[in-house]
Amino acid sequence: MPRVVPSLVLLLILGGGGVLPRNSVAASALPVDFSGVWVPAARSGDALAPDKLHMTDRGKAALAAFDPRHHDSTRFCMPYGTPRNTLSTAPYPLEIVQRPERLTMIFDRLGDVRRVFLDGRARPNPLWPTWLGHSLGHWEGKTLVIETVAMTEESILADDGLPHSAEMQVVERLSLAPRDGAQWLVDEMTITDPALYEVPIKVTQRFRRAEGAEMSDGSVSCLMDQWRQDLERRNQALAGELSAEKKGARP
Amino acid sequence: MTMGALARTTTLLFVLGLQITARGGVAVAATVDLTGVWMPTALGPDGNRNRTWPAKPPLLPAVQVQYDAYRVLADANPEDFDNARSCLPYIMPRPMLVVAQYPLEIVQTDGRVTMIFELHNDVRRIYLDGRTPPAGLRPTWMGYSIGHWDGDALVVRTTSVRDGTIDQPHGPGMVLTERLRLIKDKDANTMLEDEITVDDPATYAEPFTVRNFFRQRPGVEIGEYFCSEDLWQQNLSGNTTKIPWRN
Repeated sequence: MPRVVPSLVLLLILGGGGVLPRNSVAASALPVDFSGVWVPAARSGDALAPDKLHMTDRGKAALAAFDPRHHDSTRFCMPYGTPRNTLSTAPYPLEIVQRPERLTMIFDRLGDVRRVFLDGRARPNPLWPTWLGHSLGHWEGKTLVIETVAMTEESILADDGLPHSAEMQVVERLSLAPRDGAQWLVDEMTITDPALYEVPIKVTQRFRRAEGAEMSDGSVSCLMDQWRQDLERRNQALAGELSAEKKGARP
Repeated sequence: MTMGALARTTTLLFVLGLQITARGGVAVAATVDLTGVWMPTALGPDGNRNRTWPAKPPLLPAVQVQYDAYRVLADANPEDFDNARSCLPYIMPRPMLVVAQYPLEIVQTDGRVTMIFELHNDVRRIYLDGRTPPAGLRPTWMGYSIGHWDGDALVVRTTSVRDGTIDQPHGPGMVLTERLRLIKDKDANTMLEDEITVDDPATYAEPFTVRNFFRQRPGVEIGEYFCSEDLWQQNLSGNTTKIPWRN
């Protein structure tokens, strides 16, 4: 850890672009390097099943009022939001890009990019609720502890509409755990939101390393169908324009 | 589009999108760190306006005819002829040539330079681990980018860029070669310069070079930009008439 500090300070002073101390971002400088492509695993005995949660009346009412046609942001090509992006077990990969001062989680989803600041900064003030929230992290040995706040209540925790308030706090403990000859990333998450849940929710999400895999930008286009229609309409208009030109209908 | 159809489509794309790549070769260590938040500016280091795309690119005659026809339509209905209208990613090299005030974040790590654009949350992955492009690449919005350090310049070669853009026409064989480097402006402030050479013999009579410039924004955190926010808010307010798949 002490070896990391000088380069961190330097990076802060330079605020980015500048002369790079050799190997300052080498993987060896990180307590643990989570960099790579990860695929979420299924969860057994899901801790997010509503009947296992101790919801307040407000929480129960919000869940009962959930209408996926109108209240699920992903149907509108909006992001999943945090922590739903991290908790979803659908087989979309997650890429982690890690530097000493920042861990970046790029989900193969709807623009879900989580930035976890590790440089000891304070929260911005004021801090408005956003889809991805504001994440600060610190190391406890080989575990990265991430604390996230300011997540908009327009997002939900799971596909079934499990609600949260804008006061929700999410604490994650990220660690590596080899198992069955594969690398696993373990995210032990505690969701605290007393307005909706009398007891904090504890849920563990595991990701399996997709060795040698890389993510492409090919799958991020939620509005692809719409775009194809647009393109078709454009091409027809263009063909009409070209044909009109041939006939001398235009100067 | 139903959630099920969406899930099926994206799952299929996911399977196609992941690919295994063999690594090889020896990468030259970086001497410059481009990490940080960068704001585009069309003003060059001398303070003069820089045109990021030529007024008259050297289009081949057959392409010029098509392009002229497109211009007639696009000038009459500018909103109708822009990919961005559909909330889709930009197509290279357009994301690098944006001059509107949407920042670009660069994250430089061992063997990789990652670019995250606030606009559309586009992500460019540039591999610096000495690999060659995988065989059978499917063309994508950002293309496939491989880079190496040439002194203090990051040289990036991008191929396999998908079609679908009309305002910066290109064919499937387009090769973009970028030189990204830190320069000083006339007041000795650091700027990032991206010099892009477009080489596409099926579209252009000769290669040509365009430039864009970026200023450092230390301490800035990238904001959230979600193109379909407007649709979402209309939905929340009960007005679904303008949501394309709700008509």
